[in-house]
Amino acid sequence: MTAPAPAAPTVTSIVFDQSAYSPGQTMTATVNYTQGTSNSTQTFTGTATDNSNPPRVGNLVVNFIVVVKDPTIITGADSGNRTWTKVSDNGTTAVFTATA
Amino acid sequence: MTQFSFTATVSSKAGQVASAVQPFSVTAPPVVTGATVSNGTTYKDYANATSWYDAATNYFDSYTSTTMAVTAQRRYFPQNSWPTSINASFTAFVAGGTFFQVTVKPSQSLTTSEQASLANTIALLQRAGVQFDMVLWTEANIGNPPYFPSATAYAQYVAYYGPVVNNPAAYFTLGGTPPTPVNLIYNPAAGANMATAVSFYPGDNYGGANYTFSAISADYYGNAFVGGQLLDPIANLADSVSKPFGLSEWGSNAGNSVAPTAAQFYDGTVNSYCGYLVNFFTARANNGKKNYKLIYYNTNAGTGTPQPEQNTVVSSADYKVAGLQYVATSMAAL
Repeated sequence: MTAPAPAAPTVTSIVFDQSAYSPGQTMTATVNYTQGTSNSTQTFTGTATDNSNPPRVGNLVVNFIVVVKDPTIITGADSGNRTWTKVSDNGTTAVFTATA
Repeated sequence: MTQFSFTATVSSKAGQVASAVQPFSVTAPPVVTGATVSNGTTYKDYANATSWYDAATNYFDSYTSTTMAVTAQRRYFPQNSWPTSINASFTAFVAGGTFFQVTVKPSQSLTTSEQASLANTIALLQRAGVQFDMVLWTEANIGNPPYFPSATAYAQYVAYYGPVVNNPAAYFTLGGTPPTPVNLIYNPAAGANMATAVSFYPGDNYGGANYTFSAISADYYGNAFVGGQLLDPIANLADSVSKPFGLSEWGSNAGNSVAPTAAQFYDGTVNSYCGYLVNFFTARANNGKKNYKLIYYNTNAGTGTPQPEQNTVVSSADYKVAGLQYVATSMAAL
């Protein structure tokens, strides 16, 4: 059994609320994205104990991999050096605003 | 319209990064062009005019086939001179919505009575329905002898009267409805005086005074352009303090004995004064920089007797008409 490969985060879409803006207007960009994943190695320990006196104990330790979402940070910037403020982010969709 | 690129970047704790780019556009607003008219003899007989201001305005716009003069003009109050009523130079244009840049020169002695007079003048203008912003001492960076001995002296002057412009209600003594805040404009003479045009800018809230400038608007004529002086230093100042930049006076000649030639005024290229202005302010708009108004100065400014018709448009065949139309239509089309 092979471990699943960690997945990179992706930006799947960027949508503006208007096609063009006038200076001073508030611009809103909605960004959809996926979080990346990473592999977390967990340990399973199986323990068997018999009824002898004193009891005899046998352990078997097995490692396994759990795919977990990797903490992701999303940011926005533009070529005009405006300040984009993230006004919401639910883990899959982030909304940014800036002044045109 | 200027296109920009928005980049969204996601980065994971594990160090993986991805990004995507989406373009967006910001439109440049049109730049208002105006023309200040003067009491020239050629303007006195326009049909049905209610005053010489009205006649001159109609003549200018008729000759140039523009609406510059009826759109925006300047008015100049002399030093220590305050109106007791608002005359036809303003009232003739209230119904048409003409915007005025009013220049005032309250006393350099910095007195409370001058603060009150300034606030009362603002109240009178507003009660007459005049739309305007205001300059504290036009071209304060020049004068012979200098109007102000130093940039610091002008800054102290602005710190004293600027709060009156921005908050006249706190200073007026007329009674009745208090006046409302007026935008304050910094208006230096540029061209040959570019260095002091920049150094005299007091900035906002000098000495802790409660005022702000709304725009930086220079006086800049064709003879300065022909002499090689461009607008970059004063425009860069405006950009550095995030103020719109414009021209409160522009025209062929600021008073030199030799005016630019017709071709130097406008020859259809950026090598001429009007071509340069259009190119300069269009590039600013397309780069997301803020522009203020461009107000032509339609008066005679030359020296000698008789004074040459260097800025005044005297007919529809005047050589300056093509350049004026080019500036007006180009700025309106932004």
